[in-house]
Amino acid sequence: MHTCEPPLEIIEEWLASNGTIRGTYGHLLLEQQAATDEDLIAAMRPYFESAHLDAREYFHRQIAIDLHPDADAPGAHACYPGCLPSTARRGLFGEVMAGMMTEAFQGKFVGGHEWRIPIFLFREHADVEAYLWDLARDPARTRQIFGRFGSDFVGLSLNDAGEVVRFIAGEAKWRQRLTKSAVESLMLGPWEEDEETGDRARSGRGVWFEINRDTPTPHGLRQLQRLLELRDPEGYQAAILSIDQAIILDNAPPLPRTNLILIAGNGARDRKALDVLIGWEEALEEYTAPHDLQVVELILTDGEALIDGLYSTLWQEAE
Amino acid sequence: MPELDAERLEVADTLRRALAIENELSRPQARAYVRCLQTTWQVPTIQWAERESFRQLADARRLLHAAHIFREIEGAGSARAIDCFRRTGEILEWLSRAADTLRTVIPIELLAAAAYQLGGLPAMASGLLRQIVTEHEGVALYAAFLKADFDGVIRLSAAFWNTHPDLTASDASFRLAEPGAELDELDEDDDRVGWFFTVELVRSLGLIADSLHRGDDARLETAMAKLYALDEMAARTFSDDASLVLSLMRQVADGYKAASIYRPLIALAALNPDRRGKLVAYARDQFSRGRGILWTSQLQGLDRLLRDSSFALCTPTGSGKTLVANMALVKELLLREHDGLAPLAIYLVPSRALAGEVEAKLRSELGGEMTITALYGGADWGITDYWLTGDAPTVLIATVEKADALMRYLGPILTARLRLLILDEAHQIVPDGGENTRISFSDHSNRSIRLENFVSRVIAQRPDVVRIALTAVAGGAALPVARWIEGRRDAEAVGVRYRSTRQIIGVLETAPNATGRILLEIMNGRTLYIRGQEQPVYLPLRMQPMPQLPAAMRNSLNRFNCLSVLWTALHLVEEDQRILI
Repeated sequence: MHTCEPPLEIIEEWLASNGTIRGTYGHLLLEQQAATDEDLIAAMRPYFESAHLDAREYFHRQIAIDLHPDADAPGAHACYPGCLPSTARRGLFGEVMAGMMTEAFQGKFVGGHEWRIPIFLFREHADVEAYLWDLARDPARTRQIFGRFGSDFVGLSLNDAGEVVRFIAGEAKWRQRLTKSAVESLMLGPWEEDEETGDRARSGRGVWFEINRDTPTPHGLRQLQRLLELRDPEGYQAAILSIDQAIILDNAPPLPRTNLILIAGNGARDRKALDVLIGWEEALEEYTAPHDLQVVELILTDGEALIDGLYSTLWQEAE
Repeated sequence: MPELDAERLEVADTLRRALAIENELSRPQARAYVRCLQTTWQVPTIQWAERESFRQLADARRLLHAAHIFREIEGAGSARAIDCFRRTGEILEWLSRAADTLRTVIPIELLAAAAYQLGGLPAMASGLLRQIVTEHEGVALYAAFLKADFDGVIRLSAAFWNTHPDLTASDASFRLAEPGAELDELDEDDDRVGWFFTVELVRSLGLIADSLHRGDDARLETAMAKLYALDEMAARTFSDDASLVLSLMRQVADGYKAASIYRPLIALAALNPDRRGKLVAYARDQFSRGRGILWTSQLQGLDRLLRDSSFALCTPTGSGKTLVANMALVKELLLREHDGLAPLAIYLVPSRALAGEVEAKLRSELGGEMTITALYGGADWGITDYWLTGDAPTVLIATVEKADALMRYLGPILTARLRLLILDEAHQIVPDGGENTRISFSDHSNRSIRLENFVSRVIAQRPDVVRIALTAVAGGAALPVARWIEGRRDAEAVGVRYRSTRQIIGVLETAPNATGRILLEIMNGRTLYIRGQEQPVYLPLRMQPMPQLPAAMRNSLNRFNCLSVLWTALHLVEEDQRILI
């Protein structure tokens, strides 16, 4: 289970925050104000280790089972998440940040709910699932076969009885350089050319599309529930029951939902302080879902140094 | 038990009652089913909107969730989970057979097949998957696994290893997951973890198929442990659909392990450890014939066979009773010690046609171990027949009339050797109440009496002979047959209301100058109806009405009906549909 509190003091030194809430729309701009150094990495490491602990344990458990007929003792030392390629690590970083920012800035989020992330789901393998269906790694054949990947991130708000009273779900995206066009591609989909007219237009299949079309109860909630059942069925039994009710019952009041969009990356070179990528005054017209929306822009100056610094040192002491 | 489990069960049961009662369809389900039949029969379908497909898919997912709750709390055998799995399989099958566009977005056939497997309907799973042609090798592999086609799994995984020989080295998996190691031209940007996962999944499924086939429990345990770990990993890293397929495959694999034919056969071998090798060979042979995973009805039958001697097995046609009969033959003829005389079993069948069929089956499976002979009719046996005096265990397949005649001539020779009596279609012992029965009673040609008479005489001469009755479900014969065959008032039949396929009985309604419709009245032996409605489920046959017939034809009810049936059949037969009139 993820139990580590976010390192609030160091986050306050590291980031300048500017938040607004207008009705059901919240916008939070977080700008890096102090360079990444050993102290920042050291302060954040426990949170990252806590977030990755569950996935790491299961990864290691399965890797330790060798099916080769001549296998004797497990010989390898592939350590999750260190063994992931750098692109995947950046995706994971975005997801952990979504959790950390949700927990650290919950007072500045729309609705002012109390959020907790009992276990992190790291579903950063969308394109990799093609391997699973095709049994091939040939890039020419790698295309999406079955594709509804659901939200990247799920967190819960629990009442005193431990029941889920609201959940937060959404997309956490990392881009190395948050230029205007990179963000547009992210939110509205890549450019596509009309074969007949030759006109170029955004495909429309970006974050807005995904977040608008997500099922009222996201599939990620079912996965999160399964992990709670495995890891702490007694402690979370009230939450487990309320997720059952949300998923199964026809006439149950729907579980209130907050959508989260977190965009993290290094600011564009021509960016000025307090520039925003997604308007803060009101939710864009592209957003059509009926739920509260919280946008977080995490603008860094040396994000890669932080990511590489963190992921190269997770669990180093233990090993 | 956590204190909220009762509430979780109640939540799940609310959904089961609303969506998963066997012979009760919700209105949207009835529409989905009708659309599926219309598509299969290639007649124009009812109006259908995309949102209805999504609604059905969402229902299927909810039912899977309910099934999960039932299994978590009540265990893998939960009857309520089975209800939910079966309806999930049906809903997804209806979408699949209606060529729904969801098929391209979600692996609905894999989910449907897994749900059918977990609902104890393996034949439905294979029936659906047989129709699926896929260019994706992973989908093909999982489909083979979900239809228990273990040879197919081994073939497909072998093809995978042939394509990737470098992955067969003993350290390949670890090198694959290790950062920096060079293997198979992987570079830093490739997601090694995803590829590693896929490779390990192929390994697990291949090994599970192979160890099930060979009855190698130690390797099976290792492969299962790996599959569990992969499933848990998938729940954390894959999309809901992919992790759902994984999780269901893992549960199906659990089911295969529990239903492997090796388990009861090895238990049976305890009667005569010298014969264990033969039984293991038989189990392997059954796997080669695609029958290594037992159905619920077979497991129950074999369980009873292990505990008792005489009993009645009451399950529908197509539920695999023959295997239980075969194992009874093995138990009584091959495993028991005998006092010099080669043991004999009499296998009574109701018709000559069936005698031939049973003989062929038995000869193919047990012909190497025992003499299989059948008496059909005419002068097909004589006193010099080899099997009468041979020293091999013998199975004699006969109709009751033939067996009766034989017993009159050769009674002492036969009864001295007789160890086992198998009665196929034993419900015939309970006579129908009708005019024909009364007549047949009075002229001494009644089958029920002959059967009872024959068995009674055998029991009088050999009270210790083991009796096994195989009966159909309908007609309420199970209990009387069980009491009779066991000779105890408190006897009960081994039985499950289980059938391996779906049976629908309906009525074709026709009228002059109108298109016909089919009322779907009975599904799997129970009246089918739509929840909360008087109206039955009907299937409009949107085909051209039959042209106006000449007066002589249309004024005769019989002729009109015959031609209407022919007209309808001609429309349905166009595309490879089999119609029997």
